[in-house]
Amino acid sequence: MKLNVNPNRMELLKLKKRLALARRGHKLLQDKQEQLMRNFLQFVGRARELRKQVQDKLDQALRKFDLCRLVTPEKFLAAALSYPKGQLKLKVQVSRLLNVRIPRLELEEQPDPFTYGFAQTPSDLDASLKILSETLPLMIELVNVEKTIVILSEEIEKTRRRVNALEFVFIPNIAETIKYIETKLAELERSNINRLMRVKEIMLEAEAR
Amino acid sequence: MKEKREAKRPGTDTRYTYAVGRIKALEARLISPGDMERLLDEETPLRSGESLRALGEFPDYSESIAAGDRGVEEVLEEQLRLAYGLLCQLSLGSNVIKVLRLRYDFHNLKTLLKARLLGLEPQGLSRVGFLSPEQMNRVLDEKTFEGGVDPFVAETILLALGRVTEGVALDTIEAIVDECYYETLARVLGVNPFLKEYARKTIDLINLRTFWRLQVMGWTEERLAEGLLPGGSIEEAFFRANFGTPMADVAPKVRDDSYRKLLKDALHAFQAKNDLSVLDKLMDDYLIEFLRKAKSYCFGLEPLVGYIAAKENEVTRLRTILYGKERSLPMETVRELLRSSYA
Repeated sequence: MKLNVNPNRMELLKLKKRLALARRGHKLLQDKQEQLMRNFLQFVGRARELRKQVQDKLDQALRKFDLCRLVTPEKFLAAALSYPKGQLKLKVQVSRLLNVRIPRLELEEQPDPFTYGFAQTPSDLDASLKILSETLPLMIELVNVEKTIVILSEEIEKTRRRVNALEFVFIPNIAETIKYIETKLAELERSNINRLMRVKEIMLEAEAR
Repeated sequence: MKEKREAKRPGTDTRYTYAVGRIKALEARLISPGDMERLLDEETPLRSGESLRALGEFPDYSESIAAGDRGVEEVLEEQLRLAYGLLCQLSLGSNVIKVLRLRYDFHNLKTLLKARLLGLEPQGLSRVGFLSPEQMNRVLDEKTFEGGVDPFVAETILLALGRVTEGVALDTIEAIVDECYYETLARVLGVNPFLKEYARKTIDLINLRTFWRLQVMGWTEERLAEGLLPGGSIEEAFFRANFGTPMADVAPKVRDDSYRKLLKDALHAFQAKNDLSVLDKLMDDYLIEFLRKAKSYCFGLEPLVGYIAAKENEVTRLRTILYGKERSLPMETVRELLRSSYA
């Protein structure tokens, strides 16, 4: 669809500049989309790997926890687990990936869950909590990776829409308008030449008379 | 004088004749291994609420279920509370039963101390002990006991409280209170050779388990000093000297044959599965086996201690089966960890 502009040289020049800019922008956005896609796939692979690790670790920890729970009153386990030493401290940082802002959680301090006595707690509680403590950094990493995937997928979608808009709407419209103006200008040129030729003919006829 | 002398020999204290008779009758009401096996053999996993129904098939437990809106854990706890209450009456004020029940008061004491230190709501308080969680909370505030509390109970709790000094680290509270509890246990049970041996074996096994747990977790020797309990026959020096040596090399050095055998079996299971749950089971079975001798005594406190251990054993067995079924755990795992029956 051609744009609603006056078909003159000034507009033609402006549109040609805009077309060149749009083509350059389209190329850049396409490159960005490809790079985002590559990163996205890398993060998806990493997330899959991390999720498997976390799942395996949680399975192990819960299996051991079940072994403890089989023989220990619920209240004894609750009392043993409710008072960890220290606090969980997380730091939020923001990094940029292809100019996309990506938040990132970093584990600063992890509480020590081993504040219970050995006399009245089951042996496998230690191993269960150790595995859970090891799992926490992995879970935080998984959160980071999965959040990055969500943000990247939104950005890819946005970029794809921009690329498509440029490729299928903006650039064809400008090109069509340029073509229209060029046709219009050529037509004007031709009619001008015809007019001049006709004037010349009239003048020559007048001289001959 | 004669009575005192008799009391020193196992199964000869005639003061508890009525109590022993009553206990023999109660022992017959313990859930038989056959009934447990039947419960275990039911194929279907138990959904929420079905555990209570399964538990309700046993007369003692059905009474507890009927008494109020309770979950499985509350019913099991109630059974222990009733058993300890009865034995405290039957034991004519003997400190032996009291000290066994005090384990639950000490659990509440530890929990409340830790919760106060962190400024959190206390979780997992038990109602089996002499003092309710509310009473124990008041004791912590006022450091005195309201009327009606047994002097031995009050004295022992105050002893433990006195050891938990201001500014104590969170992770040492349990060690301090446990140490105080097992010291008292060894002292009180020390008046009777059979019970003295039981206390010694209990402490030895806990110490061996602590030593092994620390080795597996790769923790420091400092924690070993905190975790070891006094009153056992294995010296602290033995544990210190062998700290860092693999358990497979330490086990043959233990002098007691029965401990060596237990450790050998536990090592076998540990090497196969890399978990220590079998050690816990073997320890409990060992102690139950030891206490089973008390069944043959017609006099003395030993059958009473045997009965309370049997009740604890029954409750643990029920918990193992019901929890295993609720969580649909493999039946071979449940069977493997199911404690031997005293009944």
